[in-house]
Amino acid sequence: MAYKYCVAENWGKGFITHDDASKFQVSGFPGNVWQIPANSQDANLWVNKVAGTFKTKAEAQTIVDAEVATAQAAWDALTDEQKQQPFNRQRPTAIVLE
Amino acid sequence: MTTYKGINGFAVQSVATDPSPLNEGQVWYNNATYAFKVTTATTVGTWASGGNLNTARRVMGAAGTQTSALAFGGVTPPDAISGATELYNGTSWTSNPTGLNTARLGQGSASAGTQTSTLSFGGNDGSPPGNTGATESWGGSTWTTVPATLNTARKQGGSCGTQTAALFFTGGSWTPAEPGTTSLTTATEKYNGTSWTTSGNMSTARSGIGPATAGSQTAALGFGGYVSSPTRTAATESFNGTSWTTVNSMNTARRNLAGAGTQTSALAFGGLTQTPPDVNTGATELWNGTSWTTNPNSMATARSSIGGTGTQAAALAIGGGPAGVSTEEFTGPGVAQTKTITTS
Repeated sequence: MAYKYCVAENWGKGFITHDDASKFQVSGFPGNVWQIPANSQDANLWVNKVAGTFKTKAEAQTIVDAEVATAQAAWDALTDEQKQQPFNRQRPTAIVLE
Repeated sequence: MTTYKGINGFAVQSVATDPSPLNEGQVWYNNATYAFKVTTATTVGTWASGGNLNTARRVMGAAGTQTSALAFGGVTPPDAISGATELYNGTSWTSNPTGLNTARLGQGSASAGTQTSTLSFGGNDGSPPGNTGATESWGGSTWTTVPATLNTARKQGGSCGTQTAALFFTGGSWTPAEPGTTSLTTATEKYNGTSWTTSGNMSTARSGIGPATAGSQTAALGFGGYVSSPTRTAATESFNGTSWTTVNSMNTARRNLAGAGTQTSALAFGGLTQTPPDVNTGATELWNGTSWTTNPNSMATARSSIGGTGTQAAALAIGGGPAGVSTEEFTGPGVAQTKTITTS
């Protein structure tokens, strides 16, 4: 399936409604990046509703990469003892957009 | 020309507020919003956004329903063990002035309890010896530590039941003396409002298991979890009040997932997958008492270590990693819902 991307801040209740979800799948990524089907008028209307800004796949990937890099840097800065804390914590892994 | 009145013998009602409860097939005109509306039954489950938490967290406790829930404890960014407690009214979260007496992560919850009556037990408070067996009771505004403690202190087990009849099963231990290692237990314990007693052990020891949170001491379900590195399981076990029986497995093996519902009508969502290893998923599965079916609609934000509560028809996914603050609300298939009639 082909996808489109946008950036929009999730304000909470009403951001994605059951009506939206019944029409198309929205998938969220770090950096407030949202993935929607490329050929869905309902998805386009949703982007308008949430005041989203369309991004190319490359632009969206750059935003996600930056967020992941920040999280990885924070993890790398932890001491060995902190990394062993009982959170089952692991170094954030790269995310590749489809 | 065919008319609605001609077919049904009565005209469409004009009302100022939408009717409640909803009946499938019901049509009305809302004269406040100038919209014709109809009640339809959902065919597949869907996830919608709920209110955002005030305090981002993961590996927390949760209880209550989709419209009246409680979240407590967990890990807050960057890596602090928290006792913070928040209340959800179906739209937004409100921070309670006071939190748990023992801040902790991965605790069990009397998740079939209510927003005003639940328990927090076990988990890890970050201090030696690591896991705690402490039990606290929530009275609607404050937590009170009760004398009873778990026989086997542990974190990230499965739990369900109420404030006076709770169940805690399997889970893992962590000790500062052995950083990075986890030992697992199959232990099951019941709380009767006064003390914890042991019951039949699970077949497969694991942590990060998903429970049917609306289950009870006599009818519980546990699914998925971490078994050993690198194995995450899809195995499901059912409890009858005395012993556990292995039943059909989930479609997606995972750990640190969340659950909702009952022994015969459960929901599994989120977690870290086996393949590819430890990737956050939003995958959602429905249990009908016999087998699991993957729901076509996944959570919008794939995540793990979520707070889960509610039923298969109306569940809540709270926080979790990596997002931390977002809440999603699940409406299961077959549930009546209002749709606005448009020309498109």
